[in-house]
Amino acid sequence: MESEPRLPTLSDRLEVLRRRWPYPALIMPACLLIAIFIAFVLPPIYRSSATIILEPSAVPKEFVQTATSYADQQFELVQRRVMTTDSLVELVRKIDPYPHLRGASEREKARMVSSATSIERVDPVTLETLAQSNAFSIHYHNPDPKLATAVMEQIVALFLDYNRRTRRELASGTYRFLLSESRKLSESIREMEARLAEFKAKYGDALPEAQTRNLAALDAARQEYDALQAQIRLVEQREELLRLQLSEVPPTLVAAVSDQRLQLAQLRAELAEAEKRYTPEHPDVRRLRRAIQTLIEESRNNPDRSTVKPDNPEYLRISTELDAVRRELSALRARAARAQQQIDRYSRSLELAPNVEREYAQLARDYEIAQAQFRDIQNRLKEADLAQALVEEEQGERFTLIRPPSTPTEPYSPNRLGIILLGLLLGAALGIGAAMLVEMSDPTVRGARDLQELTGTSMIAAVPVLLNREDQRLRRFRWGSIAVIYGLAIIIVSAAVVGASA
Amino acid sequence: MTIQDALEKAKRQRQALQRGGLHLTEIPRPEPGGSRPIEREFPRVDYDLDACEAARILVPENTSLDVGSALAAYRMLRTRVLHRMRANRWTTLAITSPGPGEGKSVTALNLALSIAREKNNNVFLIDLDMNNPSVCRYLGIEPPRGIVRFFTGEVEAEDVLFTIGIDRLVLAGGVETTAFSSELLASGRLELLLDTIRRIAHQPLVLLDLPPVLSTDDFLVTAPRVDATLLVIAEGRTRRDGLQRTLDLLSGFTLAGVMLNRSHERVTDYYSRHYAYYRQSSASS
Repeated sequence: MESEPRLPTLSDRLEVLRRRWPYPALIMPACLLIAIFIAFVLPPIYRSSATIILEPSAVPKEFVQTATSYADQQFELVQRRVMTTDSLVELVRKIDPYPHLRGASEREKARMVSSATSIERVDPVTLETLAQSNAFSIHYHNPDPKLATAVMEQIVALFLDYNRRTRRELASGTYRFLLSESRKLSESIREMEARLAEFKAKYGDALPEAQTRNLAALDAARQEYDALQAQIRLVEQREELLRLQLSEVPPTLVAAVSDQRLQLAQLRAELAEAEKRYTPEHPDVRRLRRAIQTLIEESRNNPDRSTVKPDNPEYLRISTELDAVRRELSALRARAARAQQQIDRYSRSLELAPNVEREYAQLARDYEIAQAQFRDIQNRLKEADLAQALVEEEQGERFTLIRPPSTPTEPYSPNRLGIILLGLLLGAALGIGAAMLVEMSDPTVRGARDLQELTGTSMIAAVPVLLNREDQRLRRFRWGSIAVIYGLAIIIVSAAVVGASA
Repeated sequence: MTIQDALEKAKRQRQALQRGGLHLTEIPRPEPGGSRPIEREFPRVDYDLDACEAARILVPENTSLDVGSALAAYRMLRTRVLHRMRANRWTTLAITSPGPGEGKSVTALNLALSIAREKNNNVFLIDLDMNNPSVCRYLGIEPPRGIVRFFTGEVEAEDVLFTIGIDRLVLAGGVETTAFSSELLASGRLELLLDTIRRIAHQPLVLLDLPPVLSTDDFLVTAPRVDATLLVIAEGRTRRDGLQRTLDLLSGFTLAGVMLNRSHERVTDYYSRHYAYYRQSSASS
């Protein structure tokens, strides 16, 4: 008997609607009327708008690097300053945007102006909202269209004024900053130069640039030293030879003359002979003793043998030659010592070089950086100077009003059509929803198909609802009262619409 | 016997009829020129038109209703019920519904009126709902002798029958209520009444208005004594679970059919056209 549960088809849904049509039929117009009423009873708000564009500099960027920034940054900067309660209080003092609010203080009104103002980025041509743009629309809402325009004009004036001021401050601030920076830098560069000079004076030889020269000089000094040593050895040999030759040659031609020692020895031998034979008082002995004494004294007083003037020419020649050799030798030795000194100096310089080089490189690098910075700052300083001139002459990047505020003729809100459409949609949804809900929660048998599902057989006949006079009267009354209620509602709503439009 | 069984049986008989295997004489055919009138005279009680109109009874003078489509609907019901009754040679038909207020008495009355209008059958409508007798109330009449008195043995079967001035329609009913309807129905007096009717009239169709199935056991007591049952379901009023329980209770008895009352089913253009015609003809008469 039980048939399979069926999924509801479209015709079933339509059947439900046909059966429950009063729900949507009553709820939809009710919602629509309420929506129309709300749409027209809500107080109208007018919106005055102005569009400001951030105009690029008249002089191309390539020529003068002005203090440009992103349009929205600039705008935000200005907006922050315009939309402060203080600046808006000034505005409120000039024009009271809410004359109907007598109790509100100026600060409260200023805050209201702030919250009634909105800013959006727009396309400068179409004025459509855009994510990235250099044009901005400012909107201000007020119940009075004339006041909306007046306040908007003030706000726009504030925006332009603050932008001019900000730009000036920005330009002169940049210039001042750059100037002080450049001063600081030149100071430090001077300091660095002094330090570099000092360093160079101290470690001049060990500086990296002297390195190759030092190496070459060291090499040369070593070679010279070696050559000198060889020369010295040769000269020394020659000196030895000459000395030997000289010793073999008697200085004088009479060989004995100057030979006091031989004379002395002879005298002493004679004395010894005499003493053997004679007494000490013997005159010979005495004479001999005196002669020895004299000889000793003589040699003591005049120890130099040169006292005995050499007169042997051979001796003299050799002696002269020896003297020359000896002079040469001492000259050579002095030169060798000097070469040694040179070697010591250069090798010391080379030993020091790595440390000196590091320190020097550090100093040089710092100096170079400081110089680069200085050049950079100098360039920028020149540009800032130019930019300042541009701002002074109103040639730089600036805000321009491209759409001045106009008096609105149509209220901005309420969006009447939107509210009405919303009401219509809501009414449809509520009506159909109510019908569905009632249908779903209905436990009774509905329709022939329902009956067939339950009994497993098709019904024998269907008798419609029979309406007697009472039923008809009730129905007429019901529909009549509904018509009256809706009629009244329509009249009220029409009055509201007419009242709002007037 | 379930509904499907009954339908199966009807189908078999139809097929047999088509094959010619069943004698035409087995099916009572309406006699040409209408059924033979009942010889006996019954007391006549004139119905009250206002009461009929209020109760949605389609007496000929009733103009308050959307009569066109209503008459057409009852005509359809009549034709299909009579077809089934003839096919199954049923003479007694119980009319009931799962719960009260679903229109079984209105249906019984209107069906009886419709059958009587056909002029082929004598139709007897017996109001057996002694808990809440409605037929007489709907007609705005008080019968000469109430049916409760017959069941209690105070009067004879023939004495409770009366007419309301409509040919071929005889009624029995009352306005009295009794707390012992079930016992009275089980007493055997009902068979006596039915026999009496069969004796009086030629090929009578007896419609029995019974109490709701789910309210009392009257239906269960009466059902074995009738040939078939017509179940009246009111759209938007009969609960689905109630219908299910009723079908369970009815499963042992012959179901003539299920009819949908208070239906919102789409009426065809035919009905409307017919309605217009009816209004014209009734206006002219």
